[in-house]
Amino acid sequence: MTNSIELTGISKSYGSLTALGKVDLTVKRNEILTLLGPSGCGKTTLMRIIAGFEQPTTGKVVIDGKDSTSLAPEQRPVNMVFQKYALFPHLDVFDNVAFGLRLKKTPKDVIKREVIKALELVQLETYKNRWISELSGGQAQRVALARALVNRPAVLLLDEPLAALDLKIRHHMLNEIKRIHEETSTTFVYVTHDQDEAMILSDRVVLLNKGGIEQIGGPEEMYWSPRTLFAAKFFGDTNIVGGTYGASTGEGQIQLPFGRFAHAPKVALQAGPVNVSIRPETLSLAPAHGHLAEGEFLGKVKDTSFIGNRVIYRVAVAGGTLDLKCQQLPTPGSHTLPPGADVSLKCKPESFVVLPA
Amino acid sequence: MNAVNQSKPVVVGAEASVPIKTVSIDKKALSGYLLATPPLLFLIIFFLVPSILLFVASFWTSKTFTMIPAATIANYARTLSASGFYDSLWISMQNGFWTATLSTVISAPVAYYIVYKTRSNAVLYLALVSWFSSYLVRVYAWRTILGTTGVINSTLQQFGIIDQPLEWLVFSKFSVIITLVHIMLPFTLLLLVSGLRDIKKDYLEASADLGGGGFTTLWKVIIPMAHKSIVSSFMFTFVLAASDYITPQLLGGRDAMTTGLLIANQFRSVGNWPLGAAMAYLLLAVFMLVYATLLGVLRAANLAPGKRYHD
Ligand SMILES: Nc1ncnc2c1ncn2[C@@H]1O[C@H](COP(=O)(O)OP(=O)(O)OP(=O)(O)O)[C@@H](O)[C@H]1O
Ligand SMILES: [Mg+2]
Repeated sequence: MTNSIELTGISKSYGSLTALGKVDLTVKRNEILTLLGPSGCGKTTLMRIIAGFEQPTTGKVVIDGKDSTSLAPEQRPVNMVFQKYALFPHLDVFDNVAFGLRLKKTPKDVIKREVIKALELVQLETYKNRWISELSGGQAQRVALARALVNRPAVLLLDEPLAALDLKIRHHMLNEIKRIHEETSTTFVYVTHDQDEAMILSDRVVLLNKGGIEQIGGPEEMYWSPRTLFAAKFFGDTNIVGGTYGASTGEGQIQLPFGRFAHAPKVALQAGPVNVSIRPETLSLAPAHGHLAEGEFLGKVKDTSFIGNRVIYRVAVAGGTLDLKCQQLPTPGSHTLPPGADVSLKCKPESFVVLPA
Repeated sequence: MNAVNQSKPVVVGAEASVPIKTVSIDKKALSGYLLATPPLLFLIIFFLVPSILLFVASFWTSKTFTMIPAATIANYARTLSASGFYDSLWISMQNGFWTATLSTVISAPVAYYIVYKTRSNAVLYLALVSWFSSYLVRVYAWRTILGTTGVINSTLQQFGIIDQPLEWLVFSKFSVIITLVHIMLPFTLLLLVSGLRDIKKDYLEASADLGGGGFTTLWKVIIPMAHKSIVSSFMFTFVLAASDYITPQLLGGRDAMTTGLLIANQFRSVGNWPLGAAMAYLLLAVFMLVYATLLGVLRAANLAPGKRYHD
């Protein structure tokens, strides 16, 4: 058995509202899979269907090779880390973590051993006697992880577990979650609307949009080879430029407002209007000089932002009809070009992502 | 304070300067005190002062409607040596116990439904509407329903299920408790609803997620977390029902003489206020005992928060 979860034809409607429409998804054993997407796209709904808190309107949920569609949450071998932790305030840290094991009538000495082990995993073994109200947000988050993991679930579900934490702790916890995943070798399904979180954490990313799967792939694939305009825009910054492919311009040629470029499409492409996604870091920029080499075109700097490890230029091109974002790596002693400067830009047509318009 | 000032006069100056500092620096604290003043004054004037006066009076003696200052425990001794007091207490405690238990137990599933199962407040409002009718109207309504010529008896007779009207329906413990439960339900429901609203659904789901079925979640999560509102709902109803003397008088039959009535009589017809005051304080002591017992029982049954289950 190589798959922890197999979802087939899952849909969910609330009255007339379709929260999810026909989702097929497999989660492989031991991977970290993130469900990523904008607010309201159905991430939480999908996760709650896996956990058993919601019944899908149609479709089948198979967990660990077993059809679990009609199983109650307490009967499923999955555990969840809640966004607001939901640690029991009437119990201390130890008893919170022991909760699941006690319900399974685990012998006392085993409970003790396992709970301490789980607390060691999240580095909170000295906090076992603390009350929940005495924990910081990050600590509560770790206890929530321990409480779920101590049950050795087939799948650990995490619904935006870091949303309530501030940025610094968030980065730290992200690495902690990665470490814990490696140490426990459990399947993680992680919900987030933060693309950075998804990129850092995931083996595979599932990009959701309006209740459907937009694209599934590894972080690099999602970034460099988005298959839809939505996917291209969702990951990082990009320039979307309208143009024409093939036909009048010739096979393997793309006509853009600022030039014609040779491009070998990676997927079959119909001749006609297209949208091209050009990542800002694939554009290079230099002060304008006499003649333009192959693939170069002219522009005028509109504004610049120096961010330290990078400089972002907004450059008007094609006679001022279009702005392109262009990202450069500054080096010590290099100077940021001022607004108004004439520049020549060079792009890498092989990095274009060409999508039918 | 005074004692300190007298024994250490040096401190006075230092102490006097402190409030000035505090006031000028901590405006927030000051406004806090100001905001707290009206309710505090209210409590002092309408609760604390009368209570103290009553307590003091319970050590006085009396001669038909006049109180004579004294320092005697005779009123307490007299009450505790009279069997009538215990008889009335027994009736009161039964009224309190059954009313509090029944209204809390009946309200609990309704509150659960209102908080977790429906988004509308219709049921809550419906329950509260019964509050709008006056206390006496509700008592008489039950008298009409349960009476010997009332709805239930005449229906049963018409269908030939009984020959004679059931006397015990009205003028009995049964009718008193039914009526008191009806009167108390909105209170317990409100208290339990507001208590459950503090327990987010996440907690119930977390329990289910960790393997807890419905009953486990109820006993191990909901009740311990709702502990405070359950106790207050129970005690609130207990005290009101146990000290009530109007419903028992109108519907209690032989069980009309509650401690509340006994006390009221001292103030109204007998005119022995100090004796009434002593009885009232003895009743208060009994309520505190009930409260302590309830807390103890919940704690013993592991239904109170703050217990560690590990070493
Ligand atoms: N119990 C419910 N009743 C009705 N509609 C619901 C319910 N739960 C979710 N929805 C709707 O289903 C859609 C998907 O919601 P869901 O919570 O899965 O989004 P999400 O991707 O988790 O968003 P977010 O990032 O904001 O948490 C939304 O349009 C939401 O309004
Ligand atoms: Mg969500």
